[in-house]
Formats: sequence, C-alpha cells, structure tokens
Amino acid sequence: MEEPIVIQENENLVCGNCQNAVSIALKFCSSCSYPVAGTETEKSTFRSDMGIRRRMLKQAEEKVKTAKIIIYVLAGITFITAMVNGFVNDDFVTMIVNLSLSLLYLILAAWSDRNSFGAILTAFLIYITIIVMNFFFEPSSLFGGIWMKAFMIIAFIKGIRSAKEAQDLFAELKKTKGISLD
Amino acid sequence: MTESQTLNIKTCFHCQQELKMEDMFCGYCGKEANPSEAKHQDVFVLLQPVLLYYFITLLLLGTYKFTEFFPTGLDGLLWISLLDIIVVIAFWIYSGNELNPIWSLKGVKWYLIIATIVGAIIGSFVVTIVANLINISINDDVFYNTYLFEDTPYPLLFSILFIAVQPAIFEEVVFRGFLFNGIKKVTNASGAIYTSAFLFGIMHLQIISLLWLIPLGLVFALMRNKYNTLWYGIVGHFTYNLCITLDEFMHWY
Repeated sequence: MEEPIVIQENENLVCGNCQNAVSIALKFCSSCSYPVAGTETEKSTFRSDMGIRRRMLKQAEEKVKTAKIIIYVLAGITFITAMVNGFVNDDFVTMIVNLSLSLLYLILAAWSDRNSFGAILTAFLIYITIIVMNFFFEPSSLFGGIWMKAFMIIAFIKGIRSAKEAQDLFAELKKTKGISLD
Repeated sequence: MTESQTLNIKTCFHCQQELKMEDMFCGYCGKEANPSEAKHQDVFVLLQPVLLYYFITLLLLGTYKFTEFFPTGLDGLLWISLLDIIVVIAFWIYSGNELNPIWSLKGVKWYLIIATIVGAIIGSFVVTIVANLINISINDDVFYNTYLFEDTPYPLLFSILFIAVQPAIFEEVVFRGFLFNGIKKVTNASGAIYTSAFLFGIMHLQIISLLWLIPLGLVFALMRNKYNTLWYGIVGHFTYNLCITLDEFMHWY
C-alpha cells in the first residue's frame, strides 16, 4: 500500500492562463502546463503554441466538413435511387432498402455534429459494405462510377484522419485551457 | 497559518519528479502527467484489427449469402459458422488479456440479469410482429433459418445451438468485446457505443433488419460500457435469439 506523504502548502502563484493556484516551487502550472515561473519568451511560446493548435483545429474541422457533406450527398443519392426504383422500375423492395440506407446516412450526418469521428468511420464502412454487396450481386458494378467511388473513399479516409486529429487537438486545447483563449 | 494535507503521489514519465494524483501536467518539466500513446499513432494503425476483422467477415458473409461458393442448406450454414468461429477466436487470441476483465462475473447483478431476460423477451416479441408485417408487406426474408435443421436428429437442439448460443457468445465477443475496445482506443465511450452498434447492424447484411439490430446493438453496447461486462449482452442476445428461434420453430414444425 502507498504511504501518504505530507505536503506543506506555502505561498502560491496564480497561473496567468487558467488562474489555478501554483506552488512557487513549480515552474509550470500543473493544471494547464503554462510556464508560471518561466521567462517571457517561454510564456509567449506557450501562447503561440496554443494559437497554432487552434489554427490546426480549424483546418482539421474544415476537412471534417467535407466528409460530412459527402454523407449528406450519399443520403441524397440513395434517396433518389430509392425513388427511381420504386416509381420508375416498380421495385418496392429495393426502394425500401434504399430508403432505409438513406435514413441511416442522414442519422450519421446528424450524429457527425456530436461525434464526427464515429459518424464518418461508420458511414465509410457502410459505403464499403454496399460496394462489396453490389459486387457480389453484379461483379461489373464495381467498375461503374469508379472515379466517383475512389473520390468518396479518399474523402472518407481524409475525413477519418482529420476527425481524429480534430478530436485530439480539441482534447489538448481543453486540457491546456487553450480553447477559451483568443 | 500553515495548512497540510495528505495525498497519494505519481511519478512524471519525463523527469521522474513526484506529482499529485490530480495533476494534469508536471509542474517541473511541463509535460503531460498521463500521456496517451494512442494520440501519436496513425488512426488507421490503431484501427487495423477492427478494420481487418470487419473486411474478413464482410467477404466471408458476402460470399456465403450472395454467391454459390458455399454448399447450400445446412452444410453451408455449418461451414460459415465454423469459419466465423475460427476468425473470432483468432482475433480473440490476438487481443490477448484485453478481454479478461469483461468476462469477470464479479459485480454481475442477478436482478439486472432478470431485467435483461425480460427486456429481451419483450424485444423479441415486438421484433417478431414487425418482421412479420415486413415479410407480408414486401415479401422479404428477415428470419433466421431454423428450417435448415429439419433433417437433423435433434432439430430444436441444433437450432438453439447455432442460432441462439453461438451468436450470443461470438457476436458479443466481437462487437462488445474487441471491436468496442478497438474503437474506444481512438474515440470516446459514446463513439464506441454508437459505432459498434451500427457495425453490429450492418454486419448482418440485411438492410431491413437494421431497424431492430441497431437499437439492439445500442442496448448491449450501453450495458457493456456501463457495467464493464459481457454477461448482460450474452444473456440478452441469447434470450432474444432463443425466443425468435422458438417462435420460428413452432411455425415450421
């Protein structure tokens, strides 16, 4: 069992970043890593680091937006396909299948505002699953609209990477209390 | 006045200085007190086991359902079940001790087991009604294949074994076990709950069934996350599949 230690609390400094009380024995704030007892250069480096991370977060969020738009586009395409199947080809089973898929993409697009990583990853796997299922039904379908499929897959892969990056940057900024800084 | 307080300590990974348990950063070197390895790895490297399992199973099930590669009838079902079990066991072994804590029976509450059984019975009843309506409306087949066991010496026993017992154990190990853990390494708990539930639905390769498979997956994933055990999922999954098997069985025989 760990032995409890006794710490004497003496004078404290107030962190210039998060206003946490920091012991004068420490150089960095233990709550946000701001160099409370550091030089002016170290303090400005910390602030510029936060600025860089916020810009990176914005860039990652922009890339995530593209993937979100693709999920909406897929919902739209599947909806149109459902309508064509139902009302032009009189194939109501395929219409219901496509309507269900369209609804699923819409749910994922809505969810992407709360958890972009989970939503984009799931939409990507559904998209691949549909391509594979169509391939089993009709192998030549793999080559139909192949450039479009390649574009979608690349956008999804970039979206998944960016969503993870945005998630990590947001967590870091939250931890260092940099999310409220200007 | 001097105040004193007692607390436990941890050590900085970078400079080895002693830190308070609640410290987010080291006050001496400014590095993170609890650095996460996952943050610095490529997301697709972290997701490799999840994606590998998903694509292997997708190709296997796709080949079984949509081609004539596997024998028809019971032989085909036995082959695909065997291959599925082999794949799951391989990934189970690959994940090492990671799944051990969720197999523990410690903390499993009997009243929650009863609630899970009752919930699964009600759920299967509702799904049977909805599935019957869908089958009548669009002539789609969203049922299990209990009729395949008609010519076996013990049709009910084999139906229960392959439709209720096997999926309850192996699908839970996959979706609430290593897929859940794998996804949780790259996102938060709610992300893992929803993503694993969606994948559970999609992997059945029956789009109409998503209507009940996703909610079912959500309930099992929520319970796995809240109670950190696979047992409620296994019991619920088994009860749900058993009820549907018994219902189908009564219709066929």
